[in-house]
Amino acid sequence: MRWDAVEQAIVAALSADDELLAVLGGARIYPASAARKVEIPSIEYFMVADIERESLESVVIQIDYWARGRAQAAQIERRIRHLLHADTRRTLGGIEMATLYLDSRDHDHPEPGVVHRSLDFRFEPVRERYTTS
Amino acid sequence: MAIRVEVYGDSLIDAADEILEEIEPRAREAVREAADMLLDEVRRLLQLRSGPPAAPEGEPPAKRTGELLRSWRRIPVSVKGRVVSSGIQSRHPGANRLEFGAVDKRGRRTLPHPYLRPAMERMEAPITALLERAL
Repeated sequence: MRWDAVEQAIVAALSADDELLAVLGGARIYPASAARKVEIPSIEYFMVADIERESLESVVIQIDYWARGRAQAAQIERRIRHLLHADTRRTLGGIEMATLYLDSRDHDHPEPGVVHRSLDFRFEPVRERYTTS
Repeated sequence: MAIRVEVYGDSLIDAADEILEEIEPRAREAVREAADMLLDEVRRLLQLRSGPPAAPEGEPPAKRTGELLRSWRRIPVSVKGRVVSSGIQSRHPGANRLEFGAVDKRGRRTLPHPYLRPAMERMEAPITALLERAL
């Protein structure tokens, strides 16, 4: 499982989207970190790991985003879904993979007016899965 | 906030009425077993380590009091129309926070300690196979 390559591919896809960067006010796309204060708006990504499944091919990534108001949230989420969900396999960041939206949810946030949601996507590198070694 | 996962026996949707009565007992048993498989896996992941210290971010939480572990229950099997369903749920206040992460009132962050989604990923194929065999 090349989860690091998947992460890089996700960041590359999100960071290359001018429409998304315009909404975020720059490349405010980060790995999740408890030490960093949340920026608004911003996007963070987090690998939903299973410590016993290092050899499994697919990777589930949680994408969190924060936005000021529902309108901005809709803009961000629309771009994330457009960039990361596909019904067919495709090349993302140089890696051929199947990418699938799985689930999403709202989160509470202490600051009034701030929308915090997270979305899960499954990424399955095709090349790695079907290449014989 | 409660967290809930449901398992559906979708094949019943296509069954004719006269077949439905024959299938339903099997479907109820299969869906109950599927929910138990998921519940067992969640409970297993919640017992992988004991704390303190807390588990590393990204790994299932360390068991402390055992309240979260005990809070997970199977949802009773129900039949609505042609859909047989069950699942698992927890009303523990930490169930969501630990699974998905959170920002508290002071802005302090808890990163996810996924245990439910890894269980679902792991059990999806076995549960699908079980339902296919049974239905």
